[in-house]
Amino acid sequence: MEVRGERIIVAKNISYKYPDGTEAVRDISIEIYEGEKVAILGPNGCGKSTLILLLSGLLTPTKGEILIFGRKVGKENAEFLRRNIGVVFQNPDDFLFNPTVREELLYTPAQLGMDYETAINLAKEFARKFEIEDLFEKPPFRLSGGEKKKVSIACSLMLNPKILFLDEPTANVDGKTRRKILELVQVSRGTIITATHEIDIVPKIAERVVIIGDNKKIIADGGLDILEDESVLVSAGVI
Amino acid sequence: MIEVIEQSAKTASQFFQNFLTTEKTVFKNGLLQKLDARIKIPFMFSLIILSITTFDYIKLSVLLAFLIFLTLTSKINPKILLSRIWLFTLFTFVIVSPKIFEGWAVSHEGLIYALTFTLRVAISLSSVSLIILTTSFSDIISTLRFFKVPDSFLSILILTYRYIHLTFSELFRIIVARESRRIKKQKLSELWTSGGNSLGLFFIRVFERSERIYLSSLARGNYYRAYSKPIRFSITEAFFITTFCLLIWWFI
Ligand SMILES: Nc1ncnc2c1ncn2[C@@H]1O[C@H](COP(=O)(O)OP(=O)(O)OP(=O)(O)O)[C@@H](O)[C@H]1O
Ligand SMILES: [Mg+2]
Repeated sequence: MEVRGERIIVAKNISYKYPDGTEAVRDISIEIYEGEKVAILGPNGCGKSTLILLLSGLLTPTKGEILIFGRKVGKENAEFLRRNIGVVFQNPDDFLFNPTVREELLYTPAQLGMDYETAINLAKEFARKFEIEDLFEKPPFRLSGGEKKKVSIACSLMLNPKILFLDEPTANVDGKTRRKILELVQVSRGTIITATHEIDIVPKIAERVVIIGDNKKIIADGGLDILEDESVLVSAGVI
Repeated sequence: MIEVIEQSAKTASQFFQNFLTTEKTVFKNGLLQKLDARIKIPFMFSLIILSITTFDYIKLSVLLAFLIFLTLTSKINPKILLSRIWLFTLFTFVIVSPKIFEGWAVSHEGLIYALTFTLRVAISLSSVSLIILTTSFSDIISTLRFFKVPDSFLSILILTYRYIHLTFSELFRIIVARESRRIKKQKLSELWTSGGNSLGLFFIRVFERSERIYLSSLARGNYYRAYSKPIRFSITEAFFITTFCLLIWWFI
């Protein structure tokens, strides 16, 4: 195996229970290295989205510990983590909250203190890439499902964060947009962790595959060759 | 019956969503839209203050005429403005109308009083409506920020705005989803239970969605920072500043 970069996320035996008692993530340990492209694969409800929220430091595990860039998740590191980690939620309705698409795109740059000229140019560049320029003045909640998805992905990709989490980035989008998203992920040099259950996109966005099974345990973790092992895929419920 | 109730809840949720989203009028190329919000908002508020400092109905009528002029030059359909102010204006008139009568006779003074009072309310409501109809929410916020309104207050305003949208779009979705899956007509007794269930579901959904949106605002940075544009100064701004001075001079 090639020499890996630094370990930037270390999760040790983490579990997460939602307030209603559902244990969405159970005793998972995982390490992510700098510059890695990781795909998290697994059936519906196995905890991929929850795991993303945990690994990005947005939720705190009910058991276990996570270190991101060697730092604990908590108030004292919140700003540092938010500056370096981008997350695109599975459901754009949860992700978008500004009055217009333009403000959606300019929101995080303003929080980061980027100057206006740079920010608006960046926003326009990505709007062009995703063909959403015409939607600039529209409120996000009046967009189609795929358009919302494009806006949320553009919001995060344009900032080129050190670590980017994508939760089902290609669900609900047309072929052209899907190609665009995959292309942008491929050229990015940051660490990208994608949750999906679409096997065919995995080779394009990842060189490491983590498979979570129905029992919410990691049942395989390794290179793309895992995808050739049909028995693993079947037991993971992905095919 | 259930159709009527659901239909009106659906219309109401759409109505409120539209009430708050004014992009149809905000992005028109009209006079007030061109005016820098940092001049527009104080200007419109000064009209309100002027209107409550006088009982001279001629002055009040001139103010109202000026507001109508602004409405037209801002390419706003007067019907839209009217739909936003008529209810409260009428309500005010009804409240003060007893003043009109002295016994069975109409008192001239009472009539003037009732009319000027109603005019004031119409002027105030129109001014505020015109601000809302011609200024994007983010411009309103950045103007308030410019005038040093505390961040804590602004953040409450921003959150309220977000959640109002959220609340009504969630309500709308629940109603449409129910509609799409209801096959037979319901009886009134069933409406009672299913309506209650829907209402409970609605609150849970709004609550949980707001939690997830909170997570999203954490992910995307929640320091309530925003871009401010440089102040414009063109013929539009000059026109309003001159008008402002003339009005003050005339009123005092
Ligand atoms: N807010 C919540 N409250 C309670 N339970 C939840 C909540 N969100 C998710 N769950 C439960 O946690 C488990 C994991 O959910 P999660 O959304 O992480 O799955 P997922 O792998 O992303 O699924 P999918 O492929 O459908 O997106 C599921 O069993 C789900 O029912
Ligand atoms: Mg998910």
